[in-house]
Amino acid sequence: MDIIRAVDVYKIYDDNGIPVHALNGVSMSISQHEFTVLAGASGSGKTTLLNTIGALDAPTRGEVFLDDKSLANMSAAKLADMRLHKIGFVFQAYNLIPVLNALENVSFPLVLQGMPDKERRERSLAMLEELGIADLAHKRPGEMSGGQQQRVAVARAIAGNPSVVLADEPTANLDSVTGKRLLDLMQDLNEKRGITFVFASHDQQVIERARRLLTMRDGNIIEDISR
Amino acid sequence: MLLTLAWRNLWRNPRRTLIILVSVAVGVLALVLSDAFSIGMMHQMLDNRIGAHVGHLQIHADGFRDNPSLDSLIDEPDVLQRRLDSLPFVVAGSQRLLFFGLLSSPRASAGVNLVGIEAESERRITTIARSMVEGRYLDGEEGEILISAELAEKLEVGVGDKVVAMASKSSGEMGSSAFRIGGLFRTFDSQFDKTHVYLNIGDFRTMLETGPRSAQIVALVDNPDSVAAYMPRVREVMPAGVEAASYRDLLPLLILQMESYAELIWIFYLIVGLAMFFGIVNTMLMAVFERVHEIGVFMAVGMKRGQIFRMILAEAFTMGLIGTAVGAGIAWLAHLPFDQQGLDLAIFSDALHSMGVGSRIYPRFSAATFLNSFVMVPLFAALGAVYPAVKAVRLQPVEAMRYV
Ligand SMILES: Nc1ncnc2c1ncn2[C@@H]1O[C@H](COP(=O)(O)OP(=O)(O)OP(=O)(O)O)[C@@H](O)[C@H]1O
Ligand SMILES: [Mg+2]
Repeated sequence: MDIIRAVDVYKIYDDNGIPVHALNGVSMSISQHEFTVLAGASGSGKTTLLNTIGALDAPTRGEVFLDDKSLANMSAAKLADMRLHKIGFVFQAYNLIPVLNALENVSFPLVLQGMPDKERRERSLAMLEELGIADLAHKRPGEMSGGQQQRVAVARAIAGNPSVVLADEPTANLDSVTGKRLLDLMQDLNEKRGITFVFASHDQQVIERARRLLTMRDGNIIEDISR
Repeated sequence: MLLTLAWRNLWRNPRRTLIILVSVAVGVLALVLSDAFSIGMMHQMLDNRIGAHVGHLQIHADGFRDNPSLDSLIDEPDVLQRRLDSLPFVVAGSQRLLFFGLLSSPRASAGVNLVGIEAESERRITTIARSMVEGRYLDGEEGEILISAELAEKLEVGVGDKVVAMASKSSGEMGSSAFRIGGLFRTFDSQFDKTHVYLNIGDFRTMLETGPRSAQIVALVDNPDSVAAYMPRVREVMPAGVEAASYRDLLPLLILQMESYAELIWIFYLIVGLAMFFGIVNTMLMAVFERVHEIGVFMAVGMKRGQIFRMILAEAFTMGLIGTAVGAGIAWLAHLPFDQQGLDLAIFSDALHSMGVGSRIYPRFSAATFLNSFVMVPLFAALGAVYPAVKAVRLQPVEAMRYV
């Protein structure tokens, strides 16, 4: 079963009256345990596709299915629920909540999921441990390095047991050594725990690790290589 | 967690939050204190009127209150007073004979209420015995009269001097007697003082040839706030032709003033609430605009619009609640020094005296004052956050996150 299926998806932005075709009829699917990278030049539509399949942005035309459920006619609340339970996001800018410490940031989606206190705490601590940052539990984002923040972000993304983690340029703000460590961790999570990852990146380090590489140009996938 | 978040967000911009907190606190402080002093003042006016003359309830023959005449006296006052005394909540009672009359000294004269009292039992009802500033209270000696210091000045007389009282008898003739001034009194109410004089009920009965009848029985009850509930039981034991009235019936203007105050105070809460409302709208709008990106992240993580909405309202509500708590707390502390000694407003003493207040005001906190501020103010704060919160939840997640 495919976790994600996009069927003939178009996204046309309105840039001050000028239509911008960010996605031009993309069809693709992602199945379990994939470690997939969307590559392509800047402006080719990687982020747009990631947001669209992540229920964060609605396509202008076409349809997206998450776990075989169409997102097309879902209410905002239902879409939020899909993001909460099925998707984990990792962003280039980490995007942690500044007033919450690492442990609370990881707990946050679990709070929204309504997990009981004790279980939530244990799970969040286990996540931090898994990413090797248990000692940062009580530090706030402002007190952490970029690499540490991004690990917290990955812990937050996987804490809620999503079907897929969507990572948009997760290494772009990190130096290559830190980026490599982060990718090692994510690859580990993929191989040992079977967590599905989809990246959008033009970082060579990321592209090299892809087991499936989707290359985009002008809002289309022009190449799909598995290796 | 949502509350934790609201709480921490509150302190992200401590200066802005403190400004709002201080303005809320100052508003609540002013409101609560002025409320406490106003209520204190009105209660003092009421207590003074009750204590000086009115008592908690009065019994008259029908018609006497509308038209005080010798034709509407109580025929068997002792019987009625015994019945009144038998009620468990009545703690003291006394009889009076009172009519309008003229009091003359060799130099001047004044229209006054001549109040014939049972000197001993009146002691337990009113404060007149304790309000003597010169001479002494009636001690049963015949032919004595008590007038206020103010009236004494007007009549140019003093303790020991003779005055003549005149009032019409039932026959229509004028009755008059000479009295010796036994003492001078002063209450909290100069208007009352100018118009009331006290004499022994026996002397007054002789002067007006009324026999053993009385015009009024005045009584105190154990709990004045329950007087409305007591009245039906008082009426039950009274025969036909006699009416019973509580201080609430006897001082309708003052009671009306207190009741309308309780209704009007809402307007002041509304004004403070509104002022704060706009402060909160502004503050929370700034907070929302500062956090657009973050709100996008909340949405991406799966937070629902309703939750974001509530989080923003919770932040404003907390701000209102803290401000109120601080303001009310300071008000409470600020009133403590005045609780025992009262606020001495000696400079306004003349004005207050003519209002029947007394020159010291004892603040009085009512539960309603606190309840009002603790409900209204945080509620208005939360209302003030509605528009900013609507702005926040209208954001689209992707656009919000693009915003840095
Ligand atoms: N909100 C928007 N309004 C207008 N145009 C947009 C908007 N978002 C994206 N675009 C345009 O859509 C196209 C695709 O953008 P997208 O961000 O998906 O590209 P990308 O492959 O992620 O690029 P990058 O590598 O720079 O992140 C670009 O031309 C971009 O300018
Ligand atoms: Mg991009």
